[in-house]
Amino acid sequence: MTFPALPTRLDGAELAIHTRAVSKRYPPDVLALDGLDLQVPTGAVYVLIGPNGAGKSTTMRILLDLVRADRGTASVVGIDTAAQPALVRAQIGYVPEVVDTAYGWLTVRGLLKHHAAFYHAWDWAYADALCKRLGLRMDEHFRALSKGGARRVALVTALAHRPPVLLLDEPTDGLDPLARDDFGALLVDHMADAPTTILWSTHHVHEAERMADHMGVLRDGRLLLQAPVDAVRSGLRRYRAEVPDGWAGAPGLNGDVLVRARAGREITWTVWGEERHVAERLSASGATVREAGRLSLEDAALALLRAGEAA
Amino acid sequence: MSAAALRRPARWPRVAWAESAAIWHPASILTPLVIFLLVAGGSWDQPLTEVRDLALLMFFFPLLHWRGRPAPGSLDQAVPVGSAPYALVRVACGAAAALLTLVLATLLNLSTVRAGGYPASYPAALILAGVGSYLLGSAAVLGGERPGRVVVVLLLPALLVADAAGVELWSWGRTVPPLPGDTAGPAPFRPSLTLAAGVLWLAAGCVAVCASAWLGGRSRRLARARAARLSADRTAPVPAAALAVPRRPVTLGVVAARQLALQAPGMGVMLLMAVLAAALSAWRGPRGGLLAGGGPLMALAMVAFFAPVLVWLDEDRRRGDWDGARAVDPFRRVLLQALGGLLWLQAAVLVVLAGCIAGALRTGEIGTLAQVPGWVLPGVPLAVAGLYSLGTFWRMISGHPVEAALIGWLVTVEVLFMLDGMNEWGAIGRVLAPSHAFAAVRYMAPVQAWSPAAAAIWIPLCAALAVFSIRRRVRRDLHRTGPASAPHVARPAPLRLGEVL
Repeated sequence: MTFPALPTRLDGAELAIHTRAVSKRYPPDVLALDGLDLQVPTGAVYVLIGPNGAGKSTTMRILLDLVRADRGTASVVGIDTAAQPALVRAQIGYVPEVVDTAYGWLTVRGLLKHHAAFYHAWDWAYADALCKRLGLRMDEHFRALSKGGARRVALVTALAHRPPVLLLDEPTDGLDPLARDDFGALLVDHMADAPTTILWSTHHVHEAERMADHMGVLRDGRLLLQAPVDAVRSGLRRYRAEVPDGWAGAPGLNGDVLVRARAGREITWTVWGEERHVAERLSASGATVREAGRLSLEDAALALLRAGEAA
Repeated sequence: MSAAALRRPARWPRVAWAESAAIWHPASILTPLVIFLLVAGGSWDQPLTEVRDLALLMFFFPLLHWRGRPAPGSLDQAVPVGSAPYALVRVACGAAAALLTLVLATLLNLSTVRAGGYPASYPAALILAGVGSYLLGSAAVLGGERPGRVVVVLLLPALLVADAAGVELWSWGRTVPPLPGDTAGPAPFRPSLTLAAGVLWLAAGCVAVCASAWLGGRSRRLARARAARLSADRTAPVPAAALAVPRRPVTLGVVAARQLALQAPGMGVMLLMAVLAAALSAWRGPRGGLLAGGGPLMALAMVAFFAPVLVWLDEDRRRGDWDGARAVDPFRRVLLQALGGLLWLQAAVLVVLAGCIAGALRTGEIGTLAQVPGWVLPGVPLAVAGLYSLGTFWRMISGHPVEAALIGWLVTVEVLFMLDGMNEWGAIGRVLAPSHAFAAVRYMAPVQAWSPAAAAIWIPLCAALAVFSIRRRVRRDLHRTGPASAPHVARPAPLRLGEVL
């Protein structure tokens, strides 16, 4: 099965984050990124989706210059990450996938104080408000916090200096359902106050769906798709059709089909393409289209990843 | 106690029984015994001296017993008993392990006694004092959030008090009668430790543990109140310039200040120990005399070489992406961290030197400050800086800090010995040989051999080696560190010596 030609470039937009042909291989021989061209427009909420080991965390680590790419370049707000790591990091608020610190003996207040020293724009009033909203106790030692508690502290450190760029690596992992819901509201409020570009890596796509305006699907270190969410919603459809006995297939569609499933005479296709053209080609092949529906972002990501797996 | 805490008297014995498994844990008995056997190995002329040392070391074994973390884990917290009584049960089990260890060590050591003369109560008194020492250490561990440091901090005043009272542990030993044929007569044996004193130590330990278990909860409440008071008087608005994009990174001065602050708890203990050493030296005069380079100055070489282990102690355990992502250049940060450690170390060195010089003035060893020899100032601080740089080099090239430091020490000594072949090169070689640069801390050469020319060559060389290893380490981590989601590969890979050189 061939993988359809999907959009992987966002040309024309002013980019806050841009990687050009970035490749990274970890020893002994793990290819984490393979020529990644990530383009995150300024002010966008970009959801990066991919299975474990797809390269999402490595992408963020390269953007922070925590690891250096073997090939290619990366820039954040126009600053080369490898050339000026301190300057790049000053632009970024970061919630890592694993929230841990060497200074776990510090209290939450001590850790915030330490973090604040590195950012001119740190706003203590805002940090205190965030702590109250997230239910953090200032006197607790960081190492005594639960996984969710540690992640809340990381959220405060990421937001309290109102960075122009936010990198969120599985930010709701470890939070309870209520806190996950609150997190979305927190981000919405934050963005209303401070113009921010967000690169959000997550497995819980539905959480990001209401805010996301761009998405990228990463698999094996390569982008399968990179497009505005609206384009994905309009370009990717699920068609349910009945086919006659001895139906010979729809050869015109083959290149654009991501997923197909058959139950008796009813076939379901997930197809990338303009709805009118796809329906015409299906009808021309003898199939009767019963339904053509939109996919949620989660279903779209799932279809893309399944297709990538099959290809 | 159980009736008061639980109203179910039957449960306490079961809790104690369950906890008693800790007594037989290898870390509880085996490790102290192995250390004891390694250290002692059967001493003929000073029997029970090693048991006495073990009794003193028992102060530190609560750290081992509770793996440095006195707070019970979440499973332990689920045990339906009060936290203070439960802590006492845990201490009691640890004390039982300490008792067993001391009894075993005493029995092993008794076999080396070739002559009598001991009061029958002496071994028992040692054992009681040892258990008391364990309980005092437990009290320190229970009372502190950072038990390792609390233990050290508490030990210092305790030793000072004991020293002032003339009952220090290290004077409890004796010398047995000489071997047949020796001309010297038998040494009189008047141990300062009696059974009553041992019981007193034990009682002091019990009282301290109970007080610490009770005060522990109280101090946590006080800390909460303090933290609440801290809450923001920092409501000044952020200036608009700070919000402009691109944001400016902070200055190196701010980064350096943070590094110094983070090192304060660990290096502060070292400074405190330096104050203690300085106070004793100023009071009594430096042991062995200042001009001979004895006393605390001799220890500075080891302290300087191994100080980098302390500097990077926190980060060795766990330094994640979150720490790494702060807005600072990684090479400069690590360099400032190393410099911060050196500043703390030099502060300690200067304090010790001040104490020694004051002592020398007080005892009349030197008449005026002008008589302080050049090998003391600037010789000692320079030599300390050189050894610290070498320690940093070894710390940077390895992912295993303690092993690297120990192996590094041995290799460094060997290399410097080899380089001392320069002594054969005539007058110039004799001045420039590396031992002349480090002679100020009595390292391989008498202090009088210290040479400013050798120091001017070797100390910058050592510093350059340290900076170079830091740079290589930072670059290497950038290229080799694995994904953070895989902890088994997240630790920076150690550098090979060949790659550094």
